[in-house]
Amino acid sequence: MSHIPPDQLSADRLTGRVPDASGWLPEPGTGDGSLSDDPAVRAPLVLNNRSVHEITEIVCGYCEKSPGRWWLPLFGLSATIAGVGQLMILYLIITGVGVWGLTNQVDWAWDITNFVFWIGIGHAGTLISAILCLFKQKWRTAVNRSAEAMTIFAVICAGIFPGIHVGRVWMAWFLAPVPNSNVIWPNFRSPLLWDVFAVSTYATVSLLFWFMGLIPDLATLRDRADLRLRANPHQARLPFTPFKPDQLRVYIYGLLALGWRNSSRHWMRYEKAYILLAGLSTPLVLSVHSIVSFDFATSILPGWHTTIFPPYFVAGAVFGGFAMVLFLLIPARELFPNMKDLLTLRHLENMSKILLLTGMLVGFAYAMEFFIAWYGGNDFEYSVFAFNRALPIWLHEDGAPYWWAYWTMISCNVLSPQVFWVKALRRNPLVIWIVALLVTIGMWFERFVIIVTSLHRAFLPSEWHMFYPTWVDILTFVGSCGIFLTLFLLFMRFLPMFPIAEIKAILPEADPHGHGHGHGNGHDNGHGNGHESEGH
Amino acid sequence: MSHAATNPASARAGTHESPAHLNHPALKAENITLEPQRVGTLWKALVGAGVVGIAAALAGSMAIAGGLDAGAATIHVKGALLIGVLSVMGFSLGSLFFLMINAIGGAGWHVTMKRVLEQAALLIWLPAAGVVLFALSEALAASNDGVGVVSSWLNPAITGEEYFITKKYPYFEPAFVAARLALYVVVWVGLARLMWSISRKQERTGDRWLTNKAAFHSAWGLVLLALVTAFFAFDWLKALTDYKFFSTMWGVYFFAGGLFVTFPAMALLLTFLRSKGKLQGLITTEHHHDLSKYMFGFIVFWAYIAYSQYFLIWYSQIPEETTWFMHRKEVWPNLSAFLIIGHFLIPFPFMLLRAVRRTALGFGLFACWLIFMHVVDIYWIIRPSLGITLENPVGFGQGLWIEIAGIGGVIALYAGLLLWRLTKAPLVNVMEPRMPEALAHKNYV
Repeated sequence: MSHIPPDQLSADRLTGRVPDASGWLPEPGTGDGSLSDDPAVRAPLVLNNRSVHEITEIVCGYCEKSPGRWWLPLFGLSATIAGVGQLMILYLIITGVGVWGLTNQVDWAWDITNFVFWIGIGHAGTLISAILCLFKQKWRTAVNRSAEAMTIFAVICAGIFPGIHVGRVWMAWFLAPVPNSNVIWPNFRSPLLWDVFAVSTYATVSLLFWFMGLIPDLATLRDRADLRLRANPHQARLPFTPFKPDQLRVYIYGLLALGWRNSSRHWMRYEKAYILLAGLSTPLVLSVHSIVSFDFATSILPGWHTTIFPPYFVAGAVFGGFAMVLFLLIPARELFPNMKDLLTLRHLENMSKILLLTGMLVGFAYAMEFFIAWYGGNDFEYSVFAFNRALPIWLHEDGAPYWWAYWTMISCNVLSPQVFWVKALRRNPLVIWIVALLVTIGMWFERFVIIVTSLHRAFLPSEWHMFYPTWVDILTFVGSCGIFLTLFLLFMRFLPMFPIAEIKAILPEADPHGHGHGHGNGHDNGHGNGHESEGH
Repeated sequence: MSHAATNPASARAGTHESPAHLNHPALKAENITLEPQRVGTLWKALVGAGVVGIAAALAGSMAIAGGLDAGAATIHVKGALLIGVLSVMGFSLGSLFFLMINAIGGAGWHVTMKRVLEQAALLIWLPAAGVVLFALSEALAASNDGVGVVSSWLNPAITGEEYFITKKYPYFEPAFVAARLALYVVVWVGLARLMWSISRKQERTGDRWLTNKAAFHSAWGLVLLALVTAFFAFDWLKALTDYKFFSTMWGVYFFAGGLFVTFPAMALLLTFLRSKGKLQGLITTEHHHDLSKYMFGFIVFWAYIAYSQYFLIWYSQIPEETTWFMHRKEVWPNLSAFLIIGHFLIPFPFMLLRAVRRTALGFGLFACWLIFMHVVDIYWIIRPSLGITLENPVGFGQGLWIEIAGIGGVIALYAGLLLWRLTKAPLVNVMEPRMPEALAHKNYV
């Protein structure tokens, strides 16, 4: 079985309590050694002088060894929550959408909020994989695999809501332009239909991208299981089955690895396909959320119709997606042995900076919307922003009953990432995790604010209604979180969380320029931490 | 990295040691210095052509005033000069943005072209001064019974409108407009000077930590730059052409246009410098390849932004939004179609090709075309609105040579001054700590 150095030792090394074999201790101020600010030296992307073999051992170890005592209870809990969510969906289908709090006025609420929320989270994966790949950001290798997996799971969660909110769910196939006996075709002028195409294309390409990246790693898992079986033919069988665990691994990973043999011809085609899929995914990242924003912006409803929506939604999606990546990976970094060697403080800092940037991009969009609502001179548009959203009802009798939702959104999305201006805070995993949580909450509220506060007051005051979620609304959303977490836990348990080959390609020994020449500061390669660039 | 290098305290002590890459043959003084005599004739000729062009446009407007009323002729030439000024402004602002975003991104590949970007950013004072002069002439014209006013909001017929006074006048209060313009200029020039001074100081002292300082200033600077540029676009492009029109996307559209022109202009400028025997081994095909990728990227980004803005307005059919586009679609249909074809459809398939991206002939031809299309884009924004404020609109082709002289004059003046500036400092800051990365930059690694 895989040999993994004990976690405590490497943790001690990282915190500088124990020097490593070469006697190296991280200097104060460089955190785990990856936070050097020297502009002449690129921060190491893999710590502790890991060899290519050790990287294989670490990453494969996560799928081959028992993950620790925390996994099963957490999985049980999230699977239960997911089950509750599925019961809610069943209840909705057999009863009708009346079980939600929707009214004639607020006919979209949590359902579409959840849809946009999950679709947004599904953006970071492809962004990290495709766009950061095109920009040659090598640090992406630490997070791209899990972010891509997150994309798939988030898109699955997102896909549930438009499917079940249509009322007669068994008629949902009408969304597809297939010939039918009534000659009823979908309305091609409706952005809701474009959504069907956009999201399904995105899901397909993201799945292909993720799966293609997995193939070499699945082959590694297959071959390792095969070698173990040959070394030890008398493995114990799994309880109640005729199979040995490694037999199952050989079959399942082998099936999924599609006959990968690590030949250079395979690798050449893999690289080509990877860059092509990256190129194809990049416009898709932009198009999906742009089309989601069209669902709102093509209407003439005050608060929905504004031209900045497409790039604003894309920025918001990237923002929410990165927050979710951080929210999941910071605890994982603590729970899995040696993960801190692959996912360093520098990675977290880079992602915090992206949160700060995208947080300000959505802040820019909020500000522009508000300004143009005034500047445009349309009273209805302005009153949505001023009186439906921003002005608290306790300050003004015509104020917004949903003021708390609006200000939650502003505080979480615009204000909370501002802590990352402080270097010490954007390098502190706990602070990053809290901000990531706040941003995730804030991004849900952003969609709630856009949808519900614009709808709940129509042009006639007699049509003004509040939206109150029912317990089914709430449990369906919570259930979708359960589905997401369940799938992610399964991914962490059974699939390689890091792209093994790609990480090896960013090690110092993979650098064709060699080491030590050129950086001009006489730095040696003392403890073997690569000077690979995190961003050419 | 040595243990010393990871320790800020001990590393800072060795701050002024000269980096090893200084011995690199490409960093020889003659490779990175543009001697004034090499381009002396050219920059003087360009500045001369610029002055002559601008003067000819001004004189021409008086000449055609016989055929038009004086107000229309003035509007015509002012509009033309403004189009020229806003076109070159895109390059300066785009360069400033690209510098700052690379600084916070910690990029290394671009440091051999950084100085040229810094010079282009520094020249922001020229278009900024152009806009200030334009604003002054507008104020003068407005005080003169509104004859020759380009800006829709200064038109006396509009400033008297009840709708305008109640809704928007506070924003267009002349003192407030002037104060905003002053703020935009101060921020642009200030940020460009800040980037310039940090780079020059690094060149003098060899202090590599100044790279981090530039990154820090870029972070807050970008926030300011984004806000200021968006509001500039609101005031001097959007409201200027139609005070009723509004679009939250407008600032992004102007920004997209600025970056759209930055990369082709950089590609041409660097090719020119290489043809003079400069930057050999510093700007390679690999750098050009990446610039071409950016060119391609911003062809698509511009199209995405332009399409989203147009599409959402078209789909929703709200009259106060559609009039701006309707005017361009119905009165200027050919120009609008040409914009779509030339700005996106023609360059898109060609810039996908590696052969075009990596050969001077390929990217050079497209760079010229894209710069031309950027001018067409600004022309398309400003020019159709010049006629609508008057009884006697100036149609396309009427006095076209005045427009060519005016726009071309401003561009020639800008190009000439930029060349002159390039002789004033080394073309590369040799003390850049990430120089080795730029020297070793490859696309296939």
